Amino acid sequence: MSKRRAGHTLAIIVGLLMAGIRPSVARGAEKTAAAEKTAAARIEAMANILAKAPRLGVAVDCTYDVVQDSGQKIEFGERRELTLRRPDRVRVDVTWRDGSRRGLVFDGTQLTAFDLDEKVYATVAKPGTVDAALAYYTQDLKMRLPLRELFAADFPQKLHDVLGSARLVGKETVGGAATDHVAFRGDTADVQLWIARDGDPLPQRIVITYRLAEGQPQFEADFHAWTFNPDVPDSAFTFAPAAGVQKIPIFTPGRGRAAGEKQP
Amino acid sequence: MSRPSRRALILAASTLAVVALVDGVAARGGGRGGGGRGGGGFSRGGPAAGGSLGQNRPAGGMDRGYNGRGPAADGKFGALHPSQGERQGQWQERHEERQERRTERREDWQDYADDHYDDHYDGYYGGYYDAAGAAAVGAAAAAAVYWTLPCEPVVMAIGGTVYYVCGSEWYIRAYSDGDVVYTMVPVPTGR
Repeated sequence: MSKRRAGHTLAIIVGLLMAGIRPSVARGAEKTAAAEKTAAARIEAMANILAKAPRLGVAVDCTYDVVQDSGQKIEFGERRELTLRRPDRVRVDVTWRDGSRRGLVFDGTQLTAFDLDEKVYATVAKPGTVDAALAYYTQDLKMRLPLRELFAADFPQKLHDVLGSARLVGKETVGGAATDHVAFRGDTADVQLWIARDGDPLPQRIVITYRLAEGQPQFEADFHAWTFNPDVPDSAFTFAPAAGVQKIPIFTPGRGRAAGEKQP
Repeated sequence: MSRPSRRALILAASTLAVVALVDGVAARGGGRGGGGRGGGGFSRGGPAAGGSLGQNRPAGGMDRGYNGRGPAADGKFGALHPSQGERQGQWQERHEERQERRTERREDWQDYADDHYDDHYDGYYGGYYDAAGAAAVGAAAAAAVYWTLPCEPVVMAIGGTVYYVCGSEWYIRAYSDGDVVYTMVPVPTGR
């Protein structure tokens, strides 16, 4: 290649960079920034409405992967029906795919876990708010309650740090609803949400990927029948054992005794 | 061989090496404890079962844009020959390992019980029955939980508590880590 031709080529490349590519890069960045803003705003709006609703009812179809010791991934699933009445009433009914039923109720004083198929229940006195009771349920009693954070009053604050990582994936229809598909990343999990575009910004679907866990298992849930006015009597929040149902203790690890029992 | 095709070959070989490496890592598998009753001997517990959003601090290395393609998007079964860990021998080994662990736990519990019954439970356990008569047990028992009993138990209701008796071993049911399990308890006074 002659020096002259090389000079021409360089000029053409520089010209292309200045004329064509740079403005398009700038446009792309603007677009991305707008999408980030939209995603963060959508997630924030969703979190606020969930945290502030005085009453909530929803049915959640959950599936999740369990990576076996062999590395094989197996999916399990369950339907969860949640009724929340702030500040101090909650009921969760869970039906596994095998048909077995269990759940929890909290009436502001007593927190009860029950298993209708094993015909047992356990009760702990935990006067206070739903948030305190459910935090105790999962953190101290080590009981399972997926998506608890989604329904906690401090969810908007908890989300604050990750909103910067929020992105809009696109406008999508899931379960017949027009949604914004948004995604954000936490320390250990990647979260995707599909938030309704019409009406209240309620989540229609969520996928959580545990990217640091072996086999990167996912938890997925589809939300159905959201309501801000669940039709539930007061009695639904107190457990009334049927005949033959046994009261059993529940372990509180590290306390040296079971919960709900008298001091020796 | 021409230069591009040689380069392609090197690339292919290194891809294979990476795949083999990843395979090896996956095949070595977990060591993470089971937990949770599932179907057909499969564990139902695990990080995803909790459905937690994890630690909500931003992760580094964010990529701009999303790739719509990937192994999962193709939905293929992949190579249909058994991967390591599914051979009969390995299942057998795992089974034996589990049995061993269980036995160890039992022994630990027995040691604990031998050491502590006299000074701990005689004065302490007796007070563990609440008004409804439900039994409570110490933290040590939390280490020894069983999905199933080692025998067809004799079921006895004493003071409002239902006991499951296998020979000289007495069990009650309790919630532990979200599951209803059996746990060994001291023989009730007077038995």
